[in-house]
Amino acid sequence: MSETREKLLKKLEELNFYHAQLAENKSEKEIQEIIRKLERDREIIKNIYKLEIFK
Amino acid sequence: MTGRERIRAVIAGELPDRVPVAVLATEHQATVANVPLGDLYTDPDKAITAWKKTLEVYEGVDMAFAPETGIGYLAPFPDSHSSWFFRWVLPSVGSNEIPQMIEEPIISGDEYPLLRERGLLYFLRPDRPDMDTFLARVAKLGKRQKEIEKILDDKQLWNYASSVISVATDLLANFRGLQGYLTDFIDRPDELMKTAQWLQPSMIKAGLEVNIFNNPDNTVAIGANRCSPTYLSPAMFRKFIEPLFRNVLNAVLEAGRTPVLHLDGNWTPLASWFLEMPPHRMIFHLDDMNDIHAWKKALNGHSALMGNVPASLLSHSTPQKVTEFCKKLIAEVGDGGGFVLCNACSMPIDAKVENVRTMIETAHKYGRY
Repeated sequence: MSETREKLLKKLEELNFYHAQLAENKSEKEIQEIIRKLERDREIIKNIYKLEIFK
Repeated sequence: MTGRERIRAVIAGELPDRVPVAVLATEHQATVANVPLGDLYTDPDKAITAWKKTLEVYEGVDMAFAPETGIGYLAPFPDSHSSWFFRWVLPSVGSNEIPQMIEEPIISGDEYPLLRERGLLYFLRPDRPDMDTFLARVAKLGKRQKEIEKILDDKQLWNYASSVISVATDLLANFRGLQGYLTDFIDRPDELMKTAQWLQPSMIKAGLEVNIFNNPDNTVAIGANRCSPTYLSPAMFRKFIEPLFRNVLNAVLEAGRTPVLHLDGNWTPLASWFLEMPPHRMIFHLDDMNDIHAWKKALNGHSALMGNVPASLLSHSTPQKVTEFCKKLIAEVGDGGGFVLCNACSMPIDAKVENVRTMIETAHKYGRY
């Protein structure tokens, strides 16, 4: 596994519970896109609701 | 009296001119508008058109329901119906399949600390709705807000709810699956309740602050199912659930809002518990597992009741049998006021329009005080 892929997977693991199935058979570029969407969705939801349970 | 005046009177413990009547149409709107249910979930304009059509076809009702079928499933809202966190299979374009949750444990019993530590957003599903599509839908609803408000104002209908707060254990039941959730009350009650107490304040805050339309009746639906006596004994309810439920009710009341308790499951054994709440401030919408006659006796005028015409009757029976059933509810539960004739829970998609119309007509014909 390349160092970049390893870093991406670690980041994905920190971001989302379903990281293993999300990353399965995905390219680095695809994992980057999953991370981007997750980060964007999380940020939007946090801003809409401002709830403690949405960390 | 207008529908709004009628139902406000019922909640306040005053006698209206007749028994009010309501239709919580939800998925049934697709049948009324002759549009596949999936189209209402994917096209907000069609959803609003179906809502308008339903109000026309069921002229004579006293209550209006949220003008956006499906939004509860499509929003990243902290509720057990959100497809952002739970595996809800929603109808696609052209389909009439009703929403169905695939119940499977998401976390193990040892992972409650993980949920509290990482928060709900750690559990965003890979197959969640598309954010831009959701935001576009909200924007579309916003653009048509004035039109919706004008219809509600012209018809002077009382609004069921513009937001919802669930008891937090309902959400945890989804995270753990029903079996895991129920055994957690025995195996790890402290972790279960610690997590529920962590969730509940945010769920209350979201329910009080996020409204899908401007609601002059200031109502909030309180949803509870998996903490009902269908699953937990009244003694377990008192021990575990009562503090959560009381917090939700108190928060809604202190905010000056009217709680609409949408109670699924059989809550009859706990009807008298609600006597501990302030009188004439709330309404109980009961599903058909409840004995509404026993509720009437237990509450004895303390709070208003709504329901509970069974789904099976409205889908599979005849107008004559609907009339007989509704006349009995009106005579016994409507005696002295405090009652709104309505379908139990939500209207099934395959309810017969003639049966629903009969329910409305029965209230008008036999419900006069």
